[in-house]
Parts: sequence; structure tokens; C-alpha cells
Amino acid sequence: MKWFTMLSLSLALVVAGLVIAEEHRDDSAPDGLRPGGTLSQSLPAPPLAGEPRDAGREVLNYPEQPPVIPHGIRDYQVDVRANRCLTCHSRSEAVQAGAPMVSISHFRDRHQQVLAAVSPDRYFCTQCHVPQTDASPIVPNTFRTVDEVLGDMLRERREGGGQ
Amino acid sequence: MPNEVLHIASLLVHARPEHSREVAQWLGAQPGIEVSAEDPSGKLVVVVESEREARILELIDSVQVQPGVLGAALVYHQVLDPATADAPANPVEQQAPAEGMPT
Amino acid sequence: MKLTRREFAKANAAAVAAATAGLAMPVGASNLITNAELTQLKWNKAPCRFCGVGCSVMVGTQNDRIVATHGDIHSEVNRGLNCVKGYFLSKILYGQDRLQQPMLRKRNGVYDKRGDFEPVSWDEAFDLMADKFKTAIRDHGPDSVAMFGSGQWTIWEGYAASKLFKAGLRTNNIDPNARHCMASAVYAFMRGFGSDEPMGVYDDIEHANAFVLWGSNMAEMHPILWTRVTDRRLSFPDTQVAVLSTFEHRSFDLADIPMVMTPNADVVILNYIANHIIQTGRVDRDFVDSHTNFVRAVDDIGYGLRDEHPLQQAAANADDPNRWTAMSFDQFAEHVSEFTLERAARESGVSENRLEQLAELYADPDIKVMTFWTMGVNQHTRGVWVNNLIYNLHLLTGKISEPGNSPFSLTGQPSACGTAREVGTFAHRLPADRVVTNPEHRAFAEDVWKLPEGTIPEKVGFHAVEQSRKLKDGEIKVYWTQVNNNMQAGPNTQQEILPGWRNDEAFVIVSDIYPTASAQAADLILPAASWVEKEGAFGNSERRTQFFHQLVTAPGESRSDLWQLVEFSKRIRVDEVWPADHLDKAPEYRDSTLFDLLYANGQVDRYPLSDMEEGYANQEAEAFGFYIQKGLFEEYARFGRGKGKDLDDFDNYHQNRGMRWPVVDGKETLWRYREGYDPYVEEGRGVQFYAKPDDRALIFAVPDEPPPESPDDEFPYWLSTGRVLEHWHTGSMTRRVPELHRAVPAALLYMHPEDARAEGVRRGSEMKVISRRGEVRLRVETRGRVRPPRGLVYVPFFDANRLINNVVLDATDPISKQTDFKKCAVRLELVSLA
Repeated sequence: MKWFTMLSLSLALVVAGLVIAEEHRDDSAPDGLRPGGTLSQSLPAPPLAGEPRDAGREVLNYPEQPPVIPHGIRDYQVDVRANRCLTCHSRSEAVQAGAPMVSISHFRDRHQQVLAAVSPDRYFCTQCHVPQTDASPIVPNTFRTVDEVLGDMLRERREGGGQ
Repeated sequence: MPNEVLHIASLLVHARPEHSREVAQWLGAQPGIEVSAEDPSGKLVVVVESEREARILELIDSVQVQPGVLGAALVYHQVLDPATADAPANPVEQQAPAEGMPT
Repeated sequence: MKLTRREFAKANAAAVAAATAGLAMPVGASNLITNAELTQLKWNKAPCRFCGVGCSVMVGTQNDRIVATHGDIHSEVNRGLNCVKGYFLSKILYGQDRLQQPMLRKRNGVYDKRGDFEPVSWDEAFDLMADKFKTAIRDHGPDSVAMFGSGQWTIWEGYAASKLFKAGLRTNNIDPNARHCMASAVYAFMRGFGSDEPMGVYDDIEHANAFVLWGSNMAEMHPILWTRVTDRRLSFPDTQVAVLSTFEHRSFDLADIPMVMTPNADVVILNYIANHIIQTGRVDRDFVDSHTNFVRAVDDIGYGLRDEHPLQQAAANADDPNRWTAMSFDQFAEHVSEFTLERAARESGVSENRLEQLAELYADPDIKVMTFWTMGVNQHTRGVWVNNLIYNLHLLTGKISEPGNSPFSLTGQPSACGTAREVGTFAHRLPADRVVTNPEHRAFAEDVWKLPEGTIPEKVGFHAVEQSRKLKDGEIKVYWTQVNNNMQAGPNTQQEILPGWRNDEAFVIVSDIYPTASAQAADLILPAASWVEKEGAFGNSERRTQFFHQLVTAPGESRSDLWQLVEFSKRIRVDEVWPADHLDKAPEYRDSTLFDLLYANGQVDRYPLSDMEEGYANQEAEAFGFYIQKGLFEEYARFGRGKGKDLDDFDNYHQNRGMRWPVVDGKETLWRYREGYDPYVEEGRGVQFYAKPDDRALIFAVPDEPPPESPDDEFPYWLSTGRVLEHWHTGSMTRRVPELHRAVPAALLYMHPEDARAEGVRRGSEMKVISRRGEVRLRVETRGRVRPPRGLVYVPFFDANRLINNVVLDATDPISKQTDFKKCAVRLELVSLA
């Protein structure tokens, strides 16, 4: 009886030891993109993100930002033979397709020379323009546009002046 | 059919310093154009307002071939809704340009 | 004064154009600028924070915040363009969870390895760190402390860190994450040419009429260089693009010669091409006879695994893999003659037709060929060999060091060429190509640093993967990482890195701007300043040094890595870390701190604050009371001047868009080793590989050797890992930008549709990827941007919730010690069908 108890006890200790070792890998930590204290775990993968349903054009953060793509582009052919994006966004097709025309900034080359067609260095659209899934931000971003910052300044001044 | 958009763009025109006066005058004579800054080295900042995108391209083309012009580059391009273009743009209320099609 | 939207837009348009031209809007010159606040928008140049291309961006700031960024039209690199990451630089510093104060694991008010994080002051953090460092060095010697840094350190941060460890604490246990990135390129450069940098420049793109991408997905990883290649290819239709990889990716969209090869078949293909050049009589004999030597590399060099691993035990030359013996051209020709077209096609899976087309790009004397390579070559258990094999082709044909003929090793990080190469942050290096194992090099460094002879240790420090192993083994007691996230980016996380960091023996300090996986595994977290929150310098892939000013203030108590390193050095006295016999050589330092020894040494502190450009803040300089960045620059510049790494005057870099070293008499160097371009080539020599004692570059004969792990019945798939366009490395910055996150929200398991069918799964199913080392759960993608061949799966590593490095094998190239992230064996297991 006694030896059995001891064996159980030592087994329990071994098990507890393992648990402690595992716990130490997952010592508490602040949440980031990954929840804190989970580094040893194999977390479940969320389902594939979907394309947004009401795909309106998004407000730009600043004038020079490339607009994001408000529609899906899966299986679009954009290669040395064809560019599906230009099927709708080129100068000649945009009006009929109801799509925004490629910005005229794209009609100049590396040497700022104006060209008749979209500059070849702009050919691969997705290097700058990316589609948007319906994924929610993991961490909020506190970037403020120039107008918001100007507003803050005016407000601060007004409040400061009121003192 | 009324135009649906209003294009605001700025160009940087680089002219030979000795020609920059004439270039500025030529630019000033074009409709919808304002020369908003000049410097002694021959750089000119030009602001264009147009209802047609092509107009901006044509302008760049025609500036390029003016005597004394070394180059012209589009720097900024924004699209406004004409319906609200003359509404006040108090920065406190102002949103980022919603319809911009920048570089 | 109220503006209409129209007036506002016009004012903005004018202001942006004026700023771009560097043209002050003269007051009264325009009636458009009526809003005084608008004119306060300041625009300044800065190199991009991300990859090694080194694009220049214009940063718009207002009221101490970044409000806009766009491509800098004055930059020769990018001429106004950015990639999607670059366009969103404005937002990377504004994730809501920026770390703003030091945090320490505590229990009952004191540090406890098992405690919970609590905010502490910088004083408390530094006091504890100093105590840990001093205790470890006293009880276990200087090699019980180590640092893991980065190719994303500014140049002077890397220099200050290297000096702190190698000269102050007297251990070479400091290594950058560039070890994971381009160490293989570094070793191949030193072996082949004696100097560690590409001989060509980006301008080669506009001169070449063939491009070969060798294990590089430039379309996603070097997007702006890809715009230049695309421009060339589409503007000059005779241009050819060959793309070789183990899976199809976006760069294949431009390929005239697309090739998907079996992993590890590159050695065979490269040897075949050398054979083809010889067999078809297209060797440039004049060039080869005058400028090269042939050598045979030692073989059977192992896989950089732990010493006790059977593969290491079995390898004859695992202990000393970086050796070679002379051979003749005829012997070399005989060696490569075994690598026939038929064999290359059979072993690589690429058709004979395509391989011959590829070989002709090199063999045809009328084609100017530029070869690009990155991680497919460098992250390879034979990475150094493959680098050298690529140079072989350019050397045999004389297609090197001239416009358009250019073997071009791409670097991954913004300052890999600057921080890792220039100032020597590797565990074996000192600034400007010098090494710790060479007594003359150590003596030179000690002389520049005004330190007694014998201060810098001779022993090569622990490299990246070895650091993880030594932490797990309890040999490293104090570990400090800055600007990297090795808990997510390093290999074999669950068996090596995580148990090492959480080892009771270890005290782990992580400096970062966000709570990364690494920060979560740390004991002390230090909040860092980033990018334009400090004055900095980066060096890009083409040797271009670019400076940036501090443009905004870092949030809360966060401080730059430079400030952290230098402020910390005040807490340690020389006599607390140097043994008595060494201290006797320089008794005047007995009561000094490491700060006095290394930074307030009459050199680094030589430049007063008045030397700073007016109108810019500089937190570190103001804190220390001298222009520390300039002092560090001038000190390390001494290592390179006259040695082919010459830098321009400090102040010039703040004005120009960078200069490519060597900068001699104010003039940058484009093509190295070629008379007429490189000021170091002696008159009349034409080509001179002057960094080698006999002015000759080496052509290497190497055999084909198997990978350390290949698919088998139990683990039937190859796994390759890598990056995506929208995210930078482990995603700690880009995944906090909503637009970039929504574009690519999670890492996926890319696989061939037929493999998915054979596994009985479909797009969207959840699967486990399991190796001998660990597992990770992912959703299946069969129609994505990466299209693997059958038998290979691809997973990017940016996603902190899917730590694919749990699965990756920690085998390295035995010479460069760079991890092979591109091939190991895995099996797949269904979790849910979806």
C-alpha cells in the first residue's frame, strides 16, 4: 500500500513538473498581435477572411496614398501578356466601365517624362494598390490625418485662448 | 450632362532661369491656371483646375515644349465633387479628400 | 478666414509641389496660402523603414506627428515611387499599443522570472540590468552575456552596440538578425573577392538585357527594384527575364523563362551552366587568365546542427568548412563536366529546353545579364556555395563589374549593408571587413578606440542560432535583443528558442516598440523609439548611405536603442567587468565607466551640439550633451577610409539622397573593380579585384550534397517559408496598419490543388502543419499568389498567431551559420474541413 502511494505521489510530481515546465513557457505577458502567455500553444486558425460586401471607395489618409481596391481581384490576370486591371481603369475604358481612371501621375516615367500610356514601371498594380478583406483590425491605429491634427491644434489654441 | 468631378492638380515646372519670366507669363495666360510660386533658379509651382483629366495631361505636354522649359512634373492630383467644392472647408470639419486619385 | 474646399485643395496642391521642389512658398507670392497652419506642414526626406532597396520618402509632419508620406522624386532609387508598405509608413508608429515605459516581471515588488510584468522606471530597469551583467561576467566570464541586434539598427546604433560588447564587456557575443538574412552572401563575398559588398549598383538594371532571379521574389520583397526591372523589360521587348524558384510566385508574372525546381537542385543547375559555358567555348579566357584563380572547396561540411547531431558527427569537415585548395582550369572543367544538361534537368525537374535558355543568358557574349538573389540562395544549407557558384558564371564570362553585367546580391533589411557590413555587428567582425580572429585587425580597432592591447577577444562570438542553443543550455545568463523579433523569426522555436528564453538561468531583455512575441517571452521590456523618432542612417543594398533627422518625438518614455545602449554603459565601471591583469595595462581607466571608455573618449564626444543642423530635435545628443551621431560616424569612418569603404563628410548626407561608398574626393563609386569607375583600381589594370592579395577573384568547384532533411513517408511534404509584400518580416509594424492588415490578415497554407484533393481538403480547410519539431494550425489556400508545385507547401512567417518557425529545422549553412528557412519536411493533418 505504502509503495503504491509513493509511486502515485512521484507520478503526480512528475506530471506536476511537466505542467510547471509548460506553464513557464507561457508566463503571463501583455497582449500584442498574439494574446499574452500563449507562446507554446498552437492557436486555432480563423476562417479565411471574406471580401467586404459594401465595397465603397475609402477615404484616403493623405492625398498621396494609393487608393485601396474596393473589390475582389481573385484570379485577375496581370502578367507580361495581359493586365486585367487596365481593362476597366485605362484611360480609354474607364468612363464606359464606370471605374476611376488610372491617376495621370501614372503617365510619366522614371525621368518625369510624360508618356502616352501608363508607365511600364507602374504596370504591376498590386505593388501599391491592395484589396481589402473584411478582417477587423487586431490593434487600433491612432494615426491622425493632417486635417484632424490641424483641428486639434485649432481646438487647443481656442481652449488655450479661453483661459 | 454636367461634369461629375473637378480636378485640382499641381505641377512643378523647371525652366532655364533666363526664361522663367516668359514661361510664367505663358502659363498665366492659360485658362484655369495659377502660378503660385517662383524661385530664381527657374522652378515654378503651377496649380491647375479642370473638369477634364485630359486637360492636365495636355497642359503638361504643351508646357514641356515651351522654349526654355527643362521639364514639367505632376506633383499632386486631387478630385473634388463640384457640388461641394465651394462649401466651406474649415479644417476642423474637413475630412481627408474623399475622391483623391493620387500617385 | 474660411476656405472653400476648392481653395483648400488648391492651397494644398501648391504647398505639396513647393515642398517637393524644396521651394519656400514666399509670403505674399500667392493668395492661395491664406491658412497659416497649412504652411507649417514640414516635409523632410528619410529612407524607408522597411527593406534593403532603400527608397527615399518625403515625410510630412505637423504638430509633432507624421501626417503623410510619399515617394521622393529626387531619389535615384525610387524616383517618387513607393510600394504599398512604403506608402503606409505614416501609420506604422501609431499602433495603439506602443510600448511607452519599461516593464519588468515582478513578484512582491522585486524581479521574479515567474512574475507578472509591471511598469518600472528607466533607473530601476538599468540598475537591474547592470547588476545582471556584472554578476554574470564576474561569475561566469564575459561570454555568459550576449546581444542579438539587427540590420534595422541605424548604423551608429549597431556601431555603439558592437563597441559596447566587443570592447567594453569584452565578448564577441553580438550578432545581428542579418545572420538570418544575408550572412551567406557575406561569406561568399569574402571568399570570392575579399570585400563584402556588391560590385554593381541599381543602375545596372537600366543597362542589362537579361535578368535572372535566383531564389528571389523581387515582385513582393524588393518591389521598387521590380518596377525598374519591369520598366526595362516592357520598354525593351528584347529583354529577357528568367525566374527560378521552388514554387511559382508573383515574379513569375514577368518571366520569359519560368522555372520551378526541386529544392536543393540549384547546385546542380549552376554547375551545369558553368559546364555549358566551357563546352560551348564561351569562356572569356583573357578575363579568366588575368583576373581569377580556380579553387576546390572542402566538401562534406555538415549542416550547422548541434554538435551531437548524427549528421554533424558524420560530416568530415564540419569543424572547418571554410577552406579550399588551388586547382587548374582544366581540373575545374573536368569537375563540372559531370553536370550535364540531362542530369540537371532530371534532378531539378526543369525542362532541358528552359535550362539551356537560362545557360545561354550567361554564355552568349552579346547579352548583358544581371543576376538577383535573396533568401532562396542565402537561407540554404549550401548558401555560401550557391553564392559562389553564381559568381562563377559571371567570372567565367567576364560579365562583372560593368554596366549591365552584374551579379547582384539583394539584402533584406534597410541597413544590412550599412549596419551589419560597414560597422561589423556580426560575431566575427570588426568595422570595414575586419575580423576578430586577425591580430592586426584587433590591434587596429584597439588603436582607433584608444584601448589597451588585448581588449578585443580573439574568439568568435555566438552566432544567432548558437545564441538560442546556449540560452537553452544555460550558458548565456544575460541576453539583450534590439530591433528584432527572434521568438517569431528564429528557427525551431519550441525546442530551442522559447525554452532558452524562459530558462531560469537566463535574464532576457527585449527593446522594441510593440509587445511582440519576443517581448512576451522577455523578462524586461524596454520601450524603443523608431525610424524618424531619432536621427539615423541606413545603408542600402547598393552601398548607398542615407541619413534622416529626428522629425517627431517618441511617445511616453520610449527611447532610441542608441540612447539605451549608451545610457546603460554609464552604469558599469571598467573595473567591474575587466579582470585585474587587463586593467593593469590601462590603470587610468580603473575608475571610469564604460561610457567614459567608449563614448566620452575624446572622439565620440568631440562634436558640440552647435554642429547639429538647426531646426531639428535630437533626443540622444541633447541627453548626452554632444552630437553623438556625428562622433560615432567620424570614429567608424576611420576604419573604412583608404580601405575602399570611404564615406563622405557627415553633413553632406543630411542634404543629399545618399551616396554609394567608396566616396572619394566627394564622388561616389558605381562599379567596383573596374578602371574608370573605381578610384581604387590602379591605372592600366582594366579590372582589378584589389581586395584579394593577388588581385584575383576565386572561382569555386563545389560538389552536390544532399539537404539535412527531405520528405519521407512520415513527413511527405517540403515546407518553404518566406514573406509577403504587404507585411514587413514578423508584421509587428505593418499588421498594426489597418489597410495592410485587411489586405493580408493571416498567414495561410499555400498548396497545390491536387495535393489538397489528395489530402481530402479544400480551400479554407483548417490543417495542422507538423514537423519533427512542432506544429502550427493554418487555413488552406489553393488559389493564392503563391502557387507551389505538388509536394511542397509554403507558409509566410509574418503572423504571430501562426508561428511557422515552430516547425522549421534549425540547420544552417556550416560556413555562414545562416538558417535554412526554405526547406524541411512536414506532414499535414486535417483539423476541420470548413
